[in-house]
Amino acid sequence: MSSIFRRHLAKAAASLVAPASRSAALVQGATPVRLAFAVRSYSTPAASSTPLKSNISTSSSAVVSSTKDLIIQGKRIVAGAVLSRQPLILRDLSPFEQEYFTYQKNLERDHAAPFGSEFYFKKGSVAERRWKQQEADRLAAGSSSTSTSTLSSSSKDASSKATEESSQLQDEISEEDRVAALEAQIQFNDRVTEADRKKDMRSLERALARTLYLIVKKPREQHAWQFPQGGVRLVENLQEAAGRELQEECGSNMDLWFVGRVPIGHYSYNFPKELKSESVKGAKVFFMKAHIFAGQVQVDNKEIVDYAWVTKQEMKDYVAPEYYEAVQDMLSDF
Amino acid sequence: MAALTRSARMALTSSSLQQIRFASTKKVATSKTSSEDDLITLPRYKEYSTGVSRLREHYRNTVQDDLMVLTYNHSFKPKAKIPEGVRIELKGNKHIKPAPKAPSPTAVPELVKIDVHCMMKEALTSKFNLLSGFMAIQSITGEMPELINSKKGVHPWKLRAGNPIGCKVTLKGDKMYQFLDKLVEVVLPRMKEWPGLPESAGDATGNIGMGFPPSAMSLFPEIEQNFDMFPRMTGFDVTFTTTANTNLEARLLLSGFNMPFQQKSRSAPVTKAAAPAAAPVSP
Repeated sequence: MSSIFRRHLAKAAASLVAPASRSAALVQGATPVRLAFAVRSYSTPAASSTPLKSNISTSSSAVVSSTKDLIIQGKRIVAGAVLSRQPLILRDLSPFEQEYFTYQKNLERDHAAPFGSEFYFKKGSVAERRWKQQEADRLAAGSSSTSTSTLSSSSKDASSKATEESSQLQDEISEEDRVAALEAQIQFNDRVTEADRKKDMRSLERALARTLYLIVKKPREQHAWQFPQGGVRLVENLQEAAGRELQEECGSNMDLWFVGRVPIGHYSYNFPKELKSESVKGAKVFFMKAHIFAGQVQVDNKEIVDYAWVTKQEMKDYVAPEYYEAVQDMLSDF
Repeated sequence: MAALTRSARMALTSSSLQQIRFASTKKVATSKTSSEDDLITLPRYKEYSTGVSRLREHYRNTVQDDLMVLTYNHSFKPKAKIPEGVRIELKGNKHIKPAPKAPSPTAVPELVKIDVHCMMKEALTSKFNLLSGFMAIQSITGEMPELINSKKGVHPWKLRAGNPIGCKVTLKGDKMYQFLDKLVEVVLPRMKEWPGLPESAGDATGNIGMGFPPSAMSLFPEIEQNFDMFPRMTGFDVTFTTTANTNLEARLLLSGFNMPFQQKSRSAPVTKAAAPAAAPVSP
């Protein structure tokens, strides 16, 4: 490992914090309303004329501005950006998984050490009453599936006793408690968003449980849909080139984080006959991985005419088959 | 406190931890005066996965892939194997580091376990003083701690070999991720004036440890709710054991879980460069 890469890793160690904070909102079931984590959301626009917010560290050589293309062994070197939005909520569970987890939950409850309510709740407090009510409700519902024979008999006794207790408790619980309990209840957002229903492929708030990738459409017939990509200049590195191309094609209204300075894959192809020249016969695309945390793509209608945030499986319908063949192994199935 | 800590008391008095007998839920709820004969023995704690773990999913979806990209050694050369029977001279007292593994998708650093450990000096005077720390560790981890008896006696401290002096919990699987989640989302952000883990954190073999003062214990939501019930707060250590080979990989992994690390201020070199520019130019 080169020393430069090593030094970069040390820097990246600190900045890796960012992706976690964004996906900290992953919640089983749905996204709670109250979670507020990001300063900027996906839809908030950035101030105009600001540079792209990312972790690209410009090397000193790039200060010398040169628009000359980098060509190695008759192939133009191109940098592409695999820009992904990570899952925001937990994945959907299969019916079997749901059953399995419910069963395990009941087993765990039955085998757990006894809970000392008198330790955790003050006698006669609202919290204690509320807990007793919850416990009585749970037992009355008979949710406790039991694993051992000794326990099953004891829990049956408990459930019959629980119904008696719950009727007593009903009298004790005042209106005040009920209001407090209602307030304490967490309200969940829907797992299916407005963008999902409208099939808005441009929205970053679609398919919350999946990894989404940015593809852009260029104004041409063949190979129109691609990852954002463009030629590397003579004096810049792949990361800088990918960042520059993203800014040129998709605008600067995005907060990005590039995962390292090493490409995650490459795609080599030859130009069609009419484009071929003496010195340049084809191109080699190196893909750089990045995450988006805020902002959105801005279409300028010059370099790109459209964009979409798609999952790996949906991408198949957009890009050319040979292109998909080349990039599919870099992408996440989930 | 009596009912809940009864099992803990028994742990202190019983000779072997494997033979702890739990009181059944019903017994505790109905009668406090049950004799020991009525206790039933439950199977030893087994781990149940009761749902999809949030941080584990985050690891599988995001952190694992990113770590693969960030730590992949593109110019890996396996070290020559030392033939059997050849003795290696150590430089000073340093350990021999394990040879770096070949990069592969299966060798991406992963969190293996978290140890939560506390040692209480108060246990020297009476072993029952340990109960407070025992209960606190049990509350924050959700697992029954293991008692730690001193291996050696230390005369100046009045410590005799074999006396209970601390307790420890080893967390794995879902419970480990739950604890890490709680630590990172609730406790660490509320620790005022804690600058984060130092950049040099790690034991050079991929494990990271950190210590907490007694004041940090009360920041856990489980303790905060009934702080008055604990007679004395204790400091504790948390050790993260990972499959990483180097400090750097271990720190990358933990920072992927949002663990704060100290960062050298990047503005420092800028101001240095700016200072001469701002100064009047002399020929």
